[in-house]
Amino acid sequence: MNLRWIGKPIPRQDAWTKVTGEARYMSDLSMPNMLWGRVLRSPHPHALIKSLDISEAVACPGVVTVLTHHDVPGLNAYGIVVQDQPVLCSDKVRFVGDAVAVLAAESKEAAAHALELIKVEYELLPGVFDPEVAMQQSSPAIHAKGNVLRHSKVHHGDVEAAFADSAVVVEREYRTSRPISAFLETEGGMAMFGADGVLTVYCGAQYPDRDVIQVARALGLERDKVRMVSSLVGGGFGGKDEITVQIYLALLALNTKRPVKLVLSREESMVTGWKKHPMIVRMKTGASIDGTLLAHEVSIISDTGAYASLGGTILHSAMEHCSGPYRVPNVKVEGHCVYTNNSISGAMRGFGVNQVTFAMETQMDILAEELGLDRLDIRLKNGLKDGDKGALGSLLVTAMGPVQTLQAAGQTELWSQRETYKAEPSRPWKKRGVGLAAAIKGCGLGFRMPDFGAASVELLPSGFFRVRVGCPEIGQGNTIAFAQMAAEVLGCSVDQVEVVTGDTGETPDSGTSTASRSIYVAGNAIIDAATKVVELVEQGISARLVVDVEEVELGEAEVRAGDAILSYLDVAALLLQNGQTCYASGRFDAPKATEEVPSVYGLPHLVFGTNAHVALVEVDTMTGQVEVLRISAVSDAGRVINLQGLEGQSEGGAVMGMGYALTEDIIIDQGMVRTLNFNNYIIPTAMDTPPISTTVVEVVEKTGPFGAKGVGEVVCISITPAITNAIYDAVKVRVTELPATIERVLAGLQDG
Amino acid sequence: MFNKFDYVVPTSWADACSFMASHPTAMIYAGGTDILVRCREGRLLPSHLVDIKGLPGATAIAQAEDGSIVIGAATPLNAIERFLKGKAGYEALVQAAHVVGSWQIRNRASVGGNICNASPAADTAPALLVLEATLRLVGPSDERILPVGEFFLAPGKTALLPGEILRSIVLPAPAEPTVSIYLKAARTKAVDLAQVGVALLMLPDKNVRVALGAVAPVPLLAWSGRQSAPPANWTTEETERLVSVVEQMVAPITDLRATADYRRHMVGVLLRRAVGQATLLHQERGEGR
Ligand SMILES: Cc1cc2nc3c(=O)[nH]c(=O)nc-3n(C[C@H](O)[C@H](O)[C@H](O)COP(=O)(O)OP(=O)(O)OC[C@H]3O[C@@H](n4cnc5c(N)ncnc54)[C@H](O)[C@@H]3O)c2cc1C
Repeated sequence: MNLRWIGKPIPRQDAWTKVTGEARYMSDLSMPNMLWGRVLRSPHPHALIKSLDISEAVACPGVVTVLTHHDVPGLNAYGIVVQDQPVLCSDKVRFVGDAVAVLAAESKEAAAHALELIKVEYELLPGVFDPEVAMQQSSPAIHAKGNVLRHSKVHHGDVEAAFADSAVVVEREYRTSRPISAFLETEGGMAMFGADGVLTVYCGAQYPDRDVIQVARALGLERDKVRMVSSLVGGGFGGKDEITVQIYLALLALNTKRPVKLVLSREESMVTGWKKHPMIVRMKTGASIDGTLLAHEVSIISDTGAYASLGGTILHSAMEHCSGPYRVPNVKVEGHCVYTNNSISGAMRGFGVNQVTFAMETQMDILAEELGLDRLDIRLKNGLKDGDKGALGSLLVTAMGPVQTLQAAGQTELWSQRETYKAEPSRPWKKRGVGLAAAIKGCGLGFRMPDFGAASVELLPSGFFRVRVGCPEIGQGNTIAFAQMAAEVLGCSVDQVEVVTGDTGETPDSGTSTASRSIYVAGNAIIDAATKVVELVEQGISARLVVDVEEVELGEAEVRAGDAILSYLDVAALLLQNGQTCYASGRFDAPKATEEVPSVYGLPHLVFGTNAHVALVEVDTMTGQVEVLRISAVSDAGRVINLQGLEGQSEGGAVMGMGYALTEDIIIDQGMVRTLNFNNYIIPTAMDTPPISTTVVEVVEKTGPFGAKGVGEVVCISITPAITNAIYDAVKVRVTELPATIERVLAGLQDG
Repeated sequence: MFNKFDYVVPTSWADACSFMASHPTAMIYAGGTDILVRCREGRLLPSHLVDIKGLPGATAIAQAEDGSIVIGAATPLNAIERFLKGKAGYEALVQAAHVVGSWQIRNRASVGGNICNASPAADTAPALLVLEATLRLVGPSDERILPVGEFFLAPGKTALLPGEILRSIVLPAPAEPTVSIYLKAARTKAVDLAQVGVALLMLPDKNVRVALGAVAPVPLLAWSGRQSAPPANWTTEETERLVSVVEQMVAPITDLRATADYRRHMVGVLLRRAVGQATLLHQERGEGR
């Protein structure tokens, strides 16, 4: 394929406006006559609401409305899968931060003051904070149906027999932490009614079309009376997949008929935002003497906090990826997803795969050590290929990249010269180590969920093309990739293409910007639409100028029609002024696996992206401080659409996974979040970030747009065990609990 | 959410002092990097913020004729680092100023604010303690000089009297060849407060001073006195004796930044490292002469 735009490192169209500050966050919006909203939240992790008195707050000067559960006109609940989270709690609160009332006032100050005047009487209930305790029958029930949200089991092959045949069996327990996305822009936005009676909610979000459904359902409105706009969001990472503040904004606008703005403070965001699920992962893995994996038994207990959101689906995703990028013929896996009175867990970049990959990649290093095998060799030997079965026994049929990706990781300078890199630590009391790990991550929504892309392409009177796609730009750079794909098909330059995303009033529903899917599904839909538009233009010009269709060709800046050369402006004038349509919609339905995995709803995935990481660390043996000195990432994205975008994802993902490895953790004590801001929620700073190099492996996916897969999540997964494995390589401290804080590493050093 | 306050810009130190004396709920405002954070959290509710940055000498730093260095209280840490860099003996303050927050913070954060805020973890405090800085405090009617060692009373509490303002900090000229070091333990390389801070100063005459941050309710001068050996002939036994004396002095707490045990452990680790660096510097300078 001779490609003009695909794969090129073309700068994103929003880069300039973001750097200069011209680009606005949704929460920067402001309107005349605008009110300020606030949410009253529970200070208790588990309590009954005995009484609720808003009279003083209502009477407070400047207060326009105070709303409680009585004022939710539709369904007083939300949730992507199960609607078990009240919009406003009526009888019970289940975590610190649960919403009890919302209000709107003329000023921020009045809103804050009025919040203090709402009187809620609680009767405290015993809280449950440990998921293993929560699972017990005798524990207080957080929801009427009990504390186990999902319990699933899969067994294929014969695990017992295979363990008996194994030369070595490694059994360990892993515990993972509770990081939060910590996006730049906290949850917030504005809502207002238009002259047409449509309620528009401007709010950073990852699936505006589904937010419309949830908002309309809670407000009891028709869906076409609600519009969601999400654009240039200050980061999502999964934390804006579920409803955040959309319903509160909409309720307040509905009741006041004025524009209302509501932005969570960082503290409120830390308490109420969606966290990654902490998991207890027990793994028993057996291998033959040559390192061939034979048996794998896994138990996962996942703490979903007070409400379901995507907890069940994330558990299943963890189960599907529980053998990492490796082939194991006999697997038994059991998962529990459990309610607790901790704050809520939901989608966060990696969707359950980070936790199990950290565990599995540690198992692989232990196996290699016990068998005296090279850490790369044992991985290559077991790397998943097309035709293998995945952890749940389903057949993997397309573009599996682990072997190629691991081979490329083995060829990085950091891995091949690792002894040289390790030889000279910067101080006598420091030691260096190099770690290796790989990961796969399914792209898209799996077997059951409708997984489609939709887009439209049209020629505008200006001679530009406009592409419309539902999947919002959430900072990841899909806009420029969309423009490149459209331009590649249209034949015009990328600058000729404008992209609109994430506005339900303007863009076709194209599914979520999550699950590493937007390039894959929306890209295919754009190709479909753009192909049709090329035909429309060719046929239109052919008819107008009376030349053969074959003689019409769309070029970078102009269109050739026989001997005539037309600018795009001329083309637009010629066609549009004569009533010709130059608009087409495109659609793509993601292919599915042929069979569903029995007993785990919605699996398997069909297409997987792969990533590998090599990390060099230096450990201070006296302080426990771990410094990451260098990272080499290898990314199998299928065909790369935009190299700069891929590198951005790769670097950002590596730093996020490094924070997961070393420092990031929302600490909750008896239900109280103690890490309320960045003074104690510790994210790596620019000074902690090492040089990161990215190598690209293109295991082309036939069904992908130009062969592309998705990379948004897989880039942040294997870096975590690459770092913890490097710590072991340096100082023989085995990290089984995340994060590997300074004090945990020091304790390991002192034990060892 | 910020409470409402008035922003006041006095034109003389005397005016500033009398304003402060007559407005007990007013607060001095220098870089604002502590005060604004606390106001936003609702932990401070000042009626007035009195900006001293424009007062004579407030942001000036200069060497006096007797060799001492006078630093206006509102001088930003970046300016202090620039001025003192390369001046022998002042290493600890250069290093302490350098590890506060981030570049942007250090463009605003003042040394006066750092110590008047009286956090036990204030990075410049241990450095100022070993340098034996003196503080020029101006009040509504008179002024006084106070050794920095008498300044810290409790977390958030200083010896400043109502209406009193820290005007400048004086660093006496160190005897040659003095060496000082500041080392900080933190969870990241920037923008984190100290888990532990250790400042060490070694004079040529066997006198040694050690000050600590974040291991007691106030920044602490843990040791000041003669050792049996000068820096050039320093021995491991000498270090260990110093470490065990200093370790006796600490009373750390456990918080989200570190456990008390880790803090205690790190005092010894950082002090040994500081001694190592200081003796090395001494030797290098000796050889260079
Ligand atoms: C992101 C961030 C990171 C930080 N990192 C660090 C760090 O690593 N190490 C560290 O030590 N600190 C750190 N700090 C705290 C802060 O930056 C420092 O303490 C700084 O030196 C305070 O100086 P300022 O001029 O900003 O003080 P201000 O905020 O202006 O004042 C602080 C306090 O001192 C009083 N005050 C100020 N000047 C005088 C005066 N001349 N006379 C009497 N009272 C006065 C004020 O009334 C106030 O109570 C950090 C702060 C932030 C926001």
